[in-house]
Order: sequence, then structure tokens, then C-alpha cells
Amino acid sequence: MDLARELSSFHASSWGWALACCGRDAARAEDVLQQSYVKVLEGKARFAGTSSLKTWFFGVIRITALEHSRWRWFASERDAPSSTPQPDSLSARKQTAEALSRALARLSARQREVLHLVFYEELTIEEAAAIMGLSVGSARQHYDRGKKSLKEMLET
Amino acid sequence: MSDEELKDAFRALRETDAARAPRFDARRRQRGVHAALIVVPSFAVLASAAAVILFIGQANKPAASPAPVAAAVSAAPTVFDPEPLGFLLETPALGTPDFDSDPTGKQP
Repeated sequence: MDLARELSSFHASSWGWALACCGRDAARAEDVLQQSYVKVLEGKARFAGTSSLKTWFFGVIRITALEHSRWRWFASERDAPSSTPQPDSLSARKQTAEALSRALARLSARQREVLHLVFYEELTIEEAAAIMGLSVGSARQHYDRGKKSLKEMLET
Repeated sequence: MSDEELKDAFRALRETDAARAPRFDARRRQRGVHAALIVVPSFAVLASAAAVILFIGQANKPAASPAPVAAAVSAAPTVFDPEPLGFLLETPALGTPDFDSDPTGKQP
């Protein structure tokens, strides 16, 4: 199996997931995604084949993001959240995305992650639970509560 | 808000993210490494190397010449009496005295 080719096939999804795991900080997400690729291709993280490659790789990204966040106390200016584009330059689509992004930031990490995996990545709750290392019941609870809060925030 | 509207909002977010996704280059090293990832291990290696060098330096150092008093002590003849109280066991008059002989040796 050509791992690099397989990974490149879902690179956009991995990027979106890395953003979600890094609080939508593009600079951090880029580092985390790159570190995850290096881990896999240098054999530091091995795919056992018990799940799909994408599900497993998302788990690698999530753990790498957690490791990365432990170094945040060394944070420099580049760790600051990426600048928000000016509203007048945003199209309606971009405004929707921005509103969603702001609402997601107000949820708990678990709720944000499960909603991202289900709505953004179009995975099942079972797959999301596997990536997050949670039971399906717990993931479903985070999903229900998160979706309710997110809808309320977007409606106001 | 329906689930469909929520899905559409996520779709918009995905499109926005895709527009700023970095190019896929799995072999490229990460752009910036935290200073701590370099500084902390480097410091640990340097400190260990310094400790080893100091230890080797101490081990190879020639022994200092002994102090004069120590030299005098070591030069003194070593007299070792294995039985310092042995004389107590020596029984006086253990042998039979010879009364016939003249201890002065004057009489025949």
C-alpha cells in the first residue's frame, strides 16, 4: 500500500480535522498535520488495519494536536489565532462559515469534535466515537447536546 | 434550524477550509519547530557531556603528594607485637631452681 498516496487522497479532510483539533488556528493545524504525516511515514505510528486508514489517521491527528497543545506555554506570536477577514470581503458563504466557526468555538472540545466528524466529515457517530476514543453512548450524548447548543447559537 | 441547514453551514466551512488548505507534501518537515523541542534536548545533551568530561578529568588527575605528617607516619618502622599481654602467661619459677651450684661461680 502506498501510504503517501492514500493519505493524499483525503488530505483536505485531514486538514479540516486538524483545524478542528487546533481551535481553527491555521498555523498550528498545519504543524500538527505535518507532524502526523511524518509520524506515519517514518513508522512512528503504525496502522494495524483494525479500522479504515482515514479513521486511524484522524486519531493520529487528534493525539498529535493534544501533544502539540502541551507546548503552548512556549507560544509565540505565530500561535495567535489567525486573523479574521474583514466582513465586507466575505461572501455569504464565507459569512456562514465564519458564523459556524465562531459558534463551534463556544462549544466544549468533545462536542465540537463529534459535530465536526459527523457533519463536516460525514462520518457516523460510531466512527466518530472510535476516533475520539469514547464509547458510542458518550459520543452520542456529546453529539445531541452539541447540536442543540449549536443550533441555538446559530439561530440567535 | 434544521439538520439540513446545519449540514449546509458545515459545507460552507469545508469549502472555506479547502481554499486555504496547504499543499500535500507528506515528506516535508514541519515549518517551525518549537524552540523548546531544540533547546531542552540540546541542553540535556550538553550538560551530560560536561558531567562526563568532568568525571573523566577527576579520575585521570595524578594523586597529590602526601602531607609531611602522613609521610612521617608511613616511614616509621612498623613494630607489631602480636601478643602485647603475653608476659602475663609466663609463669615465674616454672623451672626447678639449682641450689647446688654457686650462682656466683666462685666455689668449685
